[in-house]
Amino acid sequence: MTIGDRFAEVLAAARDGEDWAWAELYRELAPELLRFLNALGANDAEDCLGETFVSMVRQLPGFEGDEAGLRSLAFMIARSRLVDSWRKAGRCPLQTELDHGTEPTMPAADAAALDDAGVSEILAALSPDQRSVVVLRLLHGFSVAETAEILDRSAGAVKQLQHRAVSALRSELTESGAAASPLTEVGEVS
Amino acid sequence: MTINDNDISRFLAGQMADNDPARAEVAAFLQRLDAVYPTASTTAMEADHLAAVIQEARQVRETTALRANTSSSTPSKPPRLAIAALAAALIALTAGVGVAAAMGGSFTQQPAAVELAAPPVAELASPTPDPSSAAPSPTKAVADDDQASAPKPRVTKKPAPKPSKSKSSPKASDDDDHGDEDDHEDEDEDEDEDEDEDD
Repeated sequence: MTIGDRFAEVLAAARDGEDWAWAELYRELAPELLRFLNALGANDAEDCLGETFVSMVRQLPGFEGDEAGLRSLAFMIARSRLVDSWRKAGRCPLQTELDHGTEPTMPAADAAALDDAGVSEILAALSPDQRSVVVLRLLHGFSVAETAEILDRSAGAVKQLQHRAVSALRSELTESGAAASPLTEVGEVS
Repeated sequence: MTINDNDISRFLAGQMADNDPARAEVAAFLQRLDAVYPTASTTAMEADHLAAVIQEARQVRETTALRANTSSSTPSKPPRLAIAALAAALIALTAGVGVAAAMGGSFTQQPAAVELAAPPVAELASPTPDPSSAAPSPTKAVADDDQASAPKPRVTKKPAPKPSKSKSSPKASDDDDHGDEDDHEDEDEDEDEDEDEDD
């Protein structure tokens, strides 16, 4: 769902501080932004989302562009808010070293939860930038150029990051026994 | 197995890989990622977030309006700037005149000195009756300057006749170069007299 032809009207009204315009922008962008923040491992994704929209209010008067540009701006702000929250918390984003020597001993009833946790754990093994590239490109469908704009990197750097991310994922999936269950489930689904 | 850019683009576009098991692993994981992080609902937090957003929007609107009023009520800035520039120019001009006066008015006396350098030799050689001429006169200063700054060879010591006198026209008497030659002649005459006295 996109705002479409009414975007210019909504944007102008939002610049004027109209409540209905901000409500429409929030309903359009907030679900995607919350998904993005969760996928990047935000501690308090809801707070980050609120701060993201407050920052958007401040930056909107200087914005010039279309709906896709505003979407990119929203993701850029969301990532900045997330990095700020990590800095305030005094720690780096969630990045774990997988223990490849342990065997999963979870009961079969928790298989689905284990799968989700396993996916998150493998994703957390990536660096924050690699993870951002994977999430932005795969989950949100941004192009390389748009991803580069959001991450404030060059297109070449984004390509390099995604290449390293896929290589790291392949390495983790090969070494980790936990990779078997998600693949099995995906195979069953597909 | 190698994964090239095309494979990565296909993975990240959500397309499944071919029969290669390693590629299929990565593609399946990325496909699984889409299910692990679904689009979340924001209805629970929408009211709080929108309240904060609308409050911030009002503050931004007030700030923008205040800036607009401030900018519209300050059309007197350019006149102030012009007045300040004019005052600065006047101060600079006054200071320049003051400096010129402190330097002895050399700007006004210099042309007079040039004019005085032209008169005949006899007039220059005669002492000035003015008692106020204890200070070095501009003419003398110019002559001294010519001596110091012009290391010309003393061609006047040569016994050869001076062609400048015969060639000089009445119009050229005001020429500075000719005046300099006269000065050198005066100097030579003075030196000759000094040598005679020493002898």
